[in-house]
Amino acid sequence: MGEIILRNLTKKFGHVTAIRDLNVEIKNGEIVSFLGPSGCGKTTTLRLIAGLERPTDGEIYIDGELVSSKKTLVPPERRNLGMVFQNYAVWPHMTVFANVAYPLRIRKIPKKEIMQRVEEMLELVGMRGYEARYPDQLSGGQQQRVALARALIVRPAALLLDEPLSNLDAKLRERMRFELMELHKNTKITVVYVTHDQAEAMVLSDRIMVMNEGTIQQVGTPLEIYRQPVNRFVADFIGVANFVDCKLLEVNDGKGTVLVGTGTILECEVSPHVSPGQRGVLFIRPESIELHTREKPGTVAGLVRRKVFLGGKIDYRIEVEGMEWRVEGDPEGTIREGDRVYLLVKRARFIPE
Amino acid sequence: MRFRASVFWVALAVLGLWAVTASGERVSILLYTSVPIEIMTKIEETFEAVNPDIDLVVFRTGTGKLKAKIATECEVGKIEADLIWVADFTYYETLKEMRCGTLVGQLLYYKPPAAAAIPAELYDKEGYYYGARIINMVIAYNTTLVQEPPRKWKDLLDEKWKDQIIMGNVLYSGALVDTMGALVMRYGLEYFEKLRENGAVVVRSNTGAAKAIAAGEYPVGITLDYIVRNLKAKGSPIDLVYPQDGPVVIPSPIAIVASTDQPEAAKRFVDYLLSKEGQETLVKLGNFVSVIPEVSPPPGAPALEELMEMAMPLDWDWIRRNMEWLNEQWTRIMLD
Amino acid sequence: MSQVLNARSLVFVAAIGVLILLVAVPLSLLIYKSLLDQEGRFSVSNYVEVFSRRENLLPLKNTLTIGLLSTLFSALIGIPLAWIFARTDIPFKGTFELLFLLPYMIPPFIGAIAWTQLLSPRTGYINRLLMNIFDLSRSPFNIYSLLGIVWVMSLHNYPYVFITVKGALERMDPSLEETARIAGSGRFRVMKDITLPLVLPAIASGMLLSFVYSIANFGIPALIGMRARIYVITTQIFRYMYTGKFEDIKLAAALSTLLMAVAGGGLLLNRWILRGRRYTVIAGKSVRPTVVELGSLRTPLCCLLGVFALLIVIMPLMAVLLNSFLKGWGVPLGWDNLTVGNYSYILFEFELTRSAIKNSILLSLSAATITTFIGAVTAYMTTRTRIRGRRTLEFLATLPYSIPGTVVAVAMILAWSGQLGVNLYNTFWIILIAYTARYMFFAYRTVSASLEQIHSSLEEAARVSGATWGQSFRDIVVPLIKPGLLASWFLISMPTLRELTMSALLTGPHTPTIGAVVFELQDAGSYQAAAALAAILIVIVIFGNLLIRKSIGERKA
Repeated sequence: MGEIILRNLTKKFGHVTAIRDLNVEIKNGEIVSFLGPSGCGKTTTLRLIAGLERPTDGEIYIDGELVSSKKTLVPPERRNLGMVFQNYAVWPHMTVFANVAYPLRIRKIPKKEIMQRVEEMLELVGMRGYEARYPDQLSGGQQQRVALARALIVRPAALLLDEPLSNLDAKLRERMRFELMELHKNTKITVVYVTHDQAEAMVLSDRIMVMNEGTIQQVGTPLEIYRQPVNRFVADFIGVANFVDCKLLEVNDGKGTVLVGTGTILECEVSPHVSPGQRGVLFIRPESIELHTREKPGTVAGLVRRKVFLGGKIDYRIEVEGMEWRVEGDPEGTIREGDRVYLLVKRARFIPE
Repeated sequence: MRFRASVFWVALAVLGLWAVTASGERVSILLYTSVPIEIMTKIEETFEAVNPDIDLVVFRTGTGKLKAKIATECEVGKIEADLIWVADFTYYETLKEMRCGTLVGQLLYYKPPAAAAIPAELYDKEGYYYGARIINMVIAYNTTLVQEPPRKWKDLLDEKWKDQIIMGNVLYSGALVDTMGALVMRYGLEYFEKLRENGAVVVRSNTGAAKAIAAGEYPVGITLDYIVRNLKAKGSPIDLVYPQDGPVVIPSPIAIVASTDQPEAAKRFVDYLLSKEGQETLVKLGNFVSVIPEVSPPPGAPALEELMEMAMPLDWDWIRRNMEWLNEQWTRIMLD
Repeated sequence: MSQVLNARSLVFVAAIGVLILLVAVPLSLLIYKSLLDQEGRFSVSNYVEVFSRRENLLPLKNTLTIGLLSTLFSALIGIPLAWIFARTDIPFKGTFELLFLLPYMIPPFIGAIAWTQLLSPRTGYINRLLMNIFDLSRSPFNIYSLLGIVWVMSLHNYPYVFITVKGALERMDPSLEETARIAGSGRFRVMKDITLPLVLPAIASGMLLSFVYSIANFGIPALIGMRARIYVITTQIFRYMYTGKFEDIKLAAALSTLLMAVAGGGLLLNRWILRGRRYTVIAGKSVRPTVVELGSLRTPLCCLLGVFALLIVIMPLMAVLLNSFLKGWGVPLGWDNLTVGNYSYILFEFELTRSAIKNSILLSLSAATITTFIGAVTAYMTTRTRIRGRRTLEFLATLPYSIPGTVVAVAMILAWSGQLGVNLYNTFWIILIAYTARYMFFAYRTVSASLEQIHSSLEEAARVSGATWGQSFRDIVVPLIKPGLLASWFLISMPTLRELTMSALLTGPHTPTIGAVVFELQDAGSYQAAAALAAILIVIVIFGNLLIRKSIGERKA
């Protein structure tokens, strides 16, 4: 239950194309994130799955059944999904109990059963005892839990979440993340999660779908996305990265060498579809660079321009061959601004232009 | 707050309910009339007291407006009223020939028994309409402000009365259009041109003019005699002069509309109005001069025969034929 | 592919159908008829006649003159008042504000009645007083003049300037002026260089509104102008409609279309001036504007304000009240000349009163209910859906309010007197239709504002929870817009209760309204009875308005 397939999905609003030719397969019980900047189309995708929008082209299947296409649209009330909106959309004129009970009331479930199931659900989200409260008496986090309870009470095929944590403060966010994961473990429900916060996506997801300008840039596990971004956008969007202009010299079984600047040669990983002579960028994470005070074989020379103390680590800006590299360093380090240093690249990846 | 709001609306609803309770299970007849509403209310009361099974619904406005209303209703197909009682004597001839929908001739033939007592000039020989009250256009003045009132129509053109004259609107009042006809026949249109030059002010109704004179807003004016008498009886400082060159004597007729649904009830109203009792009531309630010579006129008023003798000569037919022209000239001279 | 046939589409079609019948048909017919000449051929002869005949040109000129002059005076009264209320710490603000907003609540024609009682030549109370005090032989004031009309008009229209400018001054960001002060500008400099330019759109808007309502007004020129032979477009239209002659009705149609164009144009211009700036928004942000402390000026200014309020607001109302207890017009003011006879006449003897009160209440209740309903549906369709043609819906719903009442009435008469197969002339229904069309705007705007505060996600959450569009509308939308529905209901019930302009043309023998009866009594010279009924009406109106203000204020809290 809860398998969602998007095939060649396109959605236009007037002249603007929000998503273009999306092909996605979400497996039963997965937590999948749609990650991307504002306007990339992730929320539109979610709304299409919910049935709140009609596709311009393409199809959506839930558990093998065609629910959305250019010609057919199974209305949202018949899809048996659960959705939590960015602003929670908890109805202000109803109590917590009434909010959570509403989906069951609509389905004409007998009163006794409603009472029982609502209690169960409130217990699950930790809102037992708040039945008679009104939403304006609840905090943001509490409202969100009510919204969750309301979404889950119908035992839906899948749970859709639209940036649910973006309105919470940092500490609360972390806690809710944890609770969501616990919930998922208990209910084993498919979760489709939309967010622009890459840290969130990394923590929560089984798989991440990175989106930009209406198309999916890359699908993969958090580690894959982090370590092996397929293009500059993905690489840049996730975490911090250095992009060094370079030219590919040799390729050999997933590994290669590049020429950087006037004469520096570095080793790197490459993805399958590249060929020597190609121009591109070398993608290096700041934590993949070691700093040395003395020249060593394989190092590149540089000048420390800036040193920023970030608590748990130090952010160095180092000038190398006219470019600025960001390097993450040990807080105990003795390197100062203006020092000459030697950088050892531990891990890099070539990304063609 | 909700409580107060509901109290307000309950109060309004009660008001509305009280408003509804007036009508009951009675035969309803609709009268279009230009008789002033205060007098009409009393006539209605006495009539309904004697005829409790009839509900007389009165729609009152000036003759001019009534004529327009009737014209519109006629155009759409049928006159809504059951009875018409306005001040313009000539209008009824027009009604006799009017065509509304498929019906030609809008008045119902009826010969009430009381008609025998009415002088012949005051009703239609063919039996379609009957004068029900005599109203006279006279000169009125405020007794506090004026010691030497104007004695003739011509006096009103005197500079002595510049900007001090008030009168009603010919377009609105049937009696006034007849008066205008008489004065134009006697003195020509120049009379009104000079009246305008003398600063005569026009209000809507004869009642309005009389009240203004009584209040002292304007010292003199032209209005109907019974209105002055009514005000005088209440103690207002107003009195009238029957112009030496002839008051305009107008029999204001009652007629039944041919397309009425309630001819019997309508006839009963006509009977009531023209009966000795009815006429006496009219004299008492409205200070009108009666159309029946035996019925004494209101105190201070000349007897019917005397009036008809000093009256300014009137050619009803001429007035009727030139009705539209008179209205146009009035608008041109006095209103614009 | 055509839209799916569902409850929502059906509702939309029904709404557009109703609005077309209510608005589009009569107005188009009006314009059409104005373009037919005597033989029924298409021509502009009516307009030519309007502009060539002196008796039509003069009213046009008068209308413009009165409009411009009264707008000027409205500004002269409204702007300083607005500044005093928004920018100073004058005491008793609440009471004063209520007083100065009274003319806004009371129908203009009652103001006309009141001022004729005060400034009638020789017999007006003020005239008599002045003549006594200064031993004059002629009364200093005559209400029956162009200036008289302008005066009463200004006193009823200044609230538009007052409210608009006050709102703008209150919502102005104080830091804009503070920056100038810090930079070295003195207080008056700041007012001239910063405040005035920023508030100019509001001033322009208020004055525009004042102008439009001035030229659209019927009651004041009808009651005051006739005697002075001063006619305006509205009274001229009225005259034409009353002769019953076909040629005249066509002229009335032409004049009406003209008036509609000018008034409509004015209001469009107003919208353009205010684009992006919502001056009528119920304030969310609490911006505290810079307040001038009056210090020693407080008491004198307060007294001045009090005297002013006395002169322009309280005195006329007192005049009406006094007159309603007098035995007759013009009698000396003494205890033995007072009576409750006028009230007993109005309430118990005069049959029309009962009928009028019954009709007005019925009309008010039905109009408020029906209009709120249609307005709410239209507001929902426009703000919540993406159905094509919803802009047309909005246009049709809001248009009639920009059109003078006289014009709306004429349009209704032309459309519903049998030409299209249905004859509602002289019935209750034609008045109801006219009211519904005219006040739709209130319902639409109030409910829209309410809807805007409800995020669409609330409905979507219901849909995803399993509710159909209809269930979601019933369970989520309706309960949440209830305050808006109530506000709309009150907002419409008040003006319809005391309405005159449309009733004057639409009432028949069986369907009088309170406003029409008061007007009729006054016009016929029954000043005392008119005053009594007017006094009753004033009490109802003030009470009702206070209730509305309280209910809106309470919801804000």
